[in-house]
Amino acid sequence: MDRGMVIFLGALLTFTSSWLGLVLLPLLPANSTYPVLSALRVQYQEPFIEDQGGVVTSYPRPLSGSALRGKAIYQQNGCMYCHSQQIRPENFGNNADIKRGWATRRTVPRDYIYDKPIMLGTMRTGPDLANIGVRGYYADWHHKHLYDPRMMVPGSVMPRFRFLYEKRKIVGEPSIDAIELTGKWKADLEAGYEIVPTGDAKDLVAYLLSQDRTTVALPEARE
Amino acid sequence: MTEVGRNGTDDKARYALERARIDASCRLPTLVWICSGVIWLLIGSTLALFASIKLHSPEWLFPDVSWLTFGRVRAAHLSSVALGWSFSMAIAVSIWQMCRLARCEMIYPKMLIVAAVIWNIGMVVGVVGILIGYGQSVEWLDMPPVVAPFLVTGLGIVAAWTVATFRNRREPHVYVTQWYLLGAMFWMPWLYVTAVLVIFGLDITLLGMNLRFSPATGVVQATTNWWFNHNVLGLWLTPVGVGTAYYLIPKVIGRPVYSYYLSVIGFWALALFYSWAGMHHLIGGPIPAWMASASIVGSMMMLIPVAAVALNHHMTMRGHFHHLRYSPTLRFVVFGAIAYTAVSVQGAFESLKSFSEIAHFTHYTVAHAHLGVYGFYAMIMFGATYYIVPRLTGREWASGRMIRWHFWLTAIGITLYFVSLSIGGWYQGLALIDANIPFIRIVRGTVPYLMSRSVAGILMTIGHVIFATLVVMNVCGFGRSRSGPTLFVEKRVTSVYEPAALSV
Amino acid sequence: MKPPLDQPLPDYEELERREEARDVDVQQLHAPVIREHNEPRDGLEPIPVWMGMAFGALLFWGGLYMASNAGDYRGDVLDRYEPKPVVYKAEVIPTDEAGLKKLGEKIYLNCVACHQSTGEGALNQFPPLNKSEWVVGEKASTARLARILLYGLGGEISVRGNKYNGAMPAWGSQLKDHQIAAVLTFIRGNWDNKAVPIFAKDIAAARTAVGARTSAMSVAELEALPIDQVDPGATPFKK
Repeated sequence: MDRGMVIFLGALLTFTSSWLGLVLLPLLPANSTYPVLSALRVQYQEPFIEDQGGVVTSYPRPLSGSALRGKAIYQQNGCMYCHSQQIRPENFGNNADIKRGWATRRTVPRDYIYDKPIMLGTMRTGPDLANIGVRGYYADWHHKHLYDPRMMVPGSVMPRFRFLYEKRKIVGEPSIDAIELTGKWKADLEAGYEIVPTGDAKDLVAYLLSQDRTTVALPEARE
Repeated sequence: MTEVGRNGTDDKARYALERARIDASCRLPTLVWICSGVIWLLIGSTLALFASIKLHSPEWLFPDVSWLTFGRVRAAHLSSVALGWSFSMAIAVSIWQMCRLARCEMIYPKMLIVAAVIWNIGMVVGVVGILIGYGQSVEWLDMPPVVAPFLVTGLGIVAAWTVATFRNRREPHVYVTQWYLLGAMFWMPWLYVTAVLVIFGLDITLLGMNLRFSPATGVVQATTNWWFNHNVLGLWLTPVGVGTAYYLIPKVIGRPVYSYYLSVIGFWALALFYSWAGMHHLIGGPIPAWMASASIVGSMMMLIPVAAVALNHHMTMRGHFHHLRYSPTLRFVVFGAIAYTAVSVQGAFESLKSFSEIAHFTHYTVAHAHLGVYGFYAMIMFGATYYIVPRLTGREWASGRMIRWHFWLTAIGITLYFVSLSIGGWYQGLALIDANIPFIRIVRGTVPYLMSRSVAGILMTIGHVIFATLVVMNVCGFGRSRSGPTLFVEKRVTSVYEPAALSV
Repeated sequence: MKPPLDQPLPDYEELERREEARDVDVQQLHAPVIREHNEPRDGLEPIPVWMGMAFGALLFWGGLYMASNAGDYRGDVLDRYEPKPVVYKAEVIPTDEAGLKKLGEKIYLNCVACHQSTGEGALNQFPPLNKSEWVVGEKASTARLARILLYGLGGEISVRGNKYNGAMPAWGSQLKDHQIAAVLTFIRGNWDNKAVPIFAKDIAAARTAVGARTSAMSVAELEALPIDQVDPGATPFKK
């Protein structure tokens, strides 16, 4: 066997091991009929449905409408590069993720089955956002924060997304959408003008408010 | 077989003539890829400076321009340097080394130029696409999927060319660099096609048939993504970098590589273990235990090939370290080889849970990544460029002083980068796992280190500008012509019969 | 055109003439190329024994690690250090005070972002819960607290002498009755607070009494409810 063939076969076999093990095998659906292979699979497909006394919980639910459009805005602006969307388990890092109030349990694969693309993130320049929708930040807060993060969180290094907002002259009554500026931002705004979120901004905020990954206690996450 | 160590002039002259012919045939395609790399280096460095400065001073540099916000600039920077600069240089040095080691003149040079054009069309569309708002938020695959066919075609042409050249070789012995380059060319297209199909799927209509393919949902996208990203580092950039070091170090000092057996272990252990380590980017995340454990084992096992390569290079260099005073190529390449050992050892231990608990999600990881792609890979590519270009153009480098500036700016730059972000990232990590520390305090704590990183980035970018200037001067024929090699300092000739003389 | 290996070196001048005909400047190309050493070759030193042993030890460690941390290679085992197969446990709904407090502590994690883990809130931003008259003091009642949690609270409120003008979101759709009862029981029994627990039926009673509502409560509406008011179906009033 000549040297070229040795290199080819060796490269093929070594690479195929991880290609099969880490990519192809986990792709096979978790509920297929081959018990031996099912153990390795990661790809859940069914949401969790629980019926407690007539109250049916189906989790997770795919996004639609405004929140789905907002997800595209989140994706296109690279928010993932500062914000993670995963909660680490209790035996990780002194359970800090949960103690910080970011969630009530760790995230599990089933939390992400409708996430396409999944944006788990690998940096926490900013706080984790897996559950931002249920952590008490209301829409107005998000609009003000996106308009200029330093208005809501002094010292923040997050970029400002003013291009998602429109400054326009007040015609008659101020519009109900207009966001309320404070401090020096309010002083900088000329009288007779208001800041109104564009459709993109509203979609993005709808997406953020839809982020709820751990309030439903999934069986695999119960200790 | 390999030529036995005779230093007779007859052989040298004959082989020199052969090399001259090979270099003449390689000239245009290699220079095209090198120029592509240098341009992407300048673009990537500019984007890097923007990203770095915006991270600690978001109000500077046009804060309201949407395509200059950190999220987009960071993604564009990564694509420019990882796919633009790194890939272009990898291809440039690979095609030249494959011809040299096969000892045959370049076949199908025009195909390589076509590949360069196709690749760069894809890159430009992709990077501009990210900046204007079509980024995909998939790490290393941010460019809109429309560029995938361009990149696959460009890469595929080069990979096919590599195999054809190898089969066309005149030299029967297969030197270790060729194993690495063949491996890299075999693995990279497979990696890219798999990643794009699994993560983005396929939805095209071809000849009336609708092909749809969208297999990955949920965390499988993330696991495939990190399998791909990590393997681009380890099964493409690492083989090209290490293979180039294996070629240039013994070549410049005129000694054989210390041990063939260590080379064997170095290559096959890399091939076997590296591809399993990718999941360590997701430790603590929503992935099964076995994937995380496999990645930790894979990462720790990487100590085996790294130790083998480090010992090999060190023993080859032993007794010849004084040449580092003179040879630009050797200095850059040895810096890179040492950085390779350092970053790999760091990476192996960084995957262990107690380390990863602290370092994950912090700037520490960013420092580690840059030690690898810059401290190791980019420095070796600089060294390789300093070696290859004079052989293609027939002109020596215009100024040893400029090369010296380039070296020190980039070496000090990457060291400052690595040290400041590692320290800052470590403190950040320690604070992240203490729930009593308010988050904004952690952010403010990292700012001084981010500013040091910007300073380091400025140094590195100036170095790149000098490098680009040197390349342009050489290719276009500006600057003084010389009769001897351009060294860092003029070498005092002590004896005409000096054995194993330095040849740059 | 490849020069043959086993023939004598051709005449240099002849070569130059041929090369010039091919328009290649041989003299220039030869300068850096001629001074090169020949292509690199491999030495044959053996692998040091200590290195071989170290590699073996590392492989052994790797095997041990996989054996103990791979969780039987199951896709549903996520913990690394104590791999456990999934056991479906139905959620236990507590009805006693201790159980409610324990569950409430977990639910309270949803509240720490604003009210902090100390229950002290943030001055001018989020009101404190500890020693708050609205939680355990003269303004606290089950009916009022249930409404705050279910429908949110807006407008100006005074707590412990300080004014707050924020917007507390509604939790009625995210949290179930027993969860709201649990977190209320927790805040009323934690830190320096001590008061009677609140039960799931109290929350359900408040829901029924108020009905569907999309706007947040205001302080005026809450103060309009007498302290001893008990929604129909709730626990009888006890101070």
